[in-house]
Amino acid sequence: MSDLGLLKSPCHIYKSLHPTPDHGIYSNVLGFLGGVSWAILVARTCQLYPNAAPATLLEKFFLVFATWEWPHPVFLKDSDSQRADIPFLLDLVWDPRNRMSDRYHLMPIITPAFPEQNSTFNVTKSTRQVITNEFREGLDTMIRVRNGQAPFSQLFEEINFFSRYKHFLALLCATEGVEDHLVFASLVESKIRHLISSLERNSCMNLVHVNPRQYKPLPSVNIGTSHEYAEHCCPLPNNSQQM
Amino acid sequence: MSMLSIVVHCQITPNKCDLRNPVYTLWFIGLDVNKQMSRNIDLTQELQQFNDTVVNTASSAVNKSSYKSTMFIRPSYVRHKDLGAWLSKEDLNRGRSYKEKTKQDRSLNTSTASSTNGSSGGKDGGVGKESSNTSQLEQAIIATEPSVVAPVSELPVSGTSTIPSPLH
Repeated sequence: MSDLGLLKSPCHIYKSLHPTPDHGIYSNVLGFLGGVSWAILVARTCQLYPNAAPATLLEKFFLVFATWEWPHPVFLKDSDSQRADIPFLLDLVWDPRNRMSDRYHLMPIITPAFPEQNSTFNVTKSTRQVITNEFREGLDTMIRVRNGQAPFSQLFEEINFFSRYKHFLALLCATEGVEDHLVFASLVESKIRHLISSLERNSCMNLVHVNPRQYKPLPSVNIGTSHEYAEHCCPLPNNSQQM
Repeated sequence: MSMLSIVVHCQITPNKCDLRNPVYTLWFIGLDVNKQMSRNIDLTQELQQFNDTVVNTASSAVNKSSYKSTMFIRPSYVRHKDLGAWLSKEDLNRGRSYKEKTKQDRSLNTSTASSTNGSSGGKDGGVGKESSNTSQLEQAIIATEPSVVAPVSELPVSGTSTIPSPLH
């Protein structure tokens, strides 16, 4: 019970969910949830339990979204798309009844102002599964916190990503100089979610989880610029399209 | 006992061997592999496609000025025990280790089953749900234990059996 008084306001809940980078599920560009989406989820919980104490809200947050039936959308309010003054924005409103492409969104979390849009466009099947798993873990932890079996701090502990899996793909991005790297690394990062969705279509994969944290390799790593690497991978200088 | 092997042959042109002042960034993608499907998994096509996408975007008309042939991606498959060769101990050991409770819970294939299980709690949003939810979690833990030793043929059955269950 002692830990339950620690959270003071709903604002803290949002802040306390911010350690989610430590759980590897905070990155819009990689197909997880960005700050806007997290804020909407917290706001929805506050709407559902307007009089709950913050610690209860935190537990209900995990309860609501661990059991949420995706792809049911999360709305904060009814859409009021009757804005005649800016008709050209009407086409942007998220509406699976009229827009075919919106029907394929897996985890719709809709922004509350006109034009209402889905804030989780990049979510794929496996990132949704990873997020849902974390919600369930969080609920499990919260139930133990409530029963006095675990301290609150357990909820915010960073989980070692490498202890989760036995197999990994390492994507090494290399450039000359820092300026080039800024340009190229962000391009590569923005395409990783496409790789994730093509990997998850492979029937051999149960789950594909990209770690949003970026690492620097040890200097001793064979970066692939030596002839050993060339032996492994037959270079195809100009024929890559024939693949 | 045969080892699982994941093949990654990437035809990425290593033509620029010596980078001056090289800068590297590493991403890691954790793979939960369905071993019953295949012992040899070839991810070459996916990674080749990824590389082509990046290179095509980078060398497209809009970005052409900023793309150089010294920029490249090199994907490789790393087993858990070989991670030490890639990363510092500090990076590798940060955070507490993950306690794997319910393997079945985690995979994509059972996601529909688990979401239908949870549906009873999701709608009403009432107070009495936590108890049902904890029991669901316990059930899930119990349910996975036999499936660890279950033969291949039973797995799809256990997945589909949850669908007609509301009829009972």
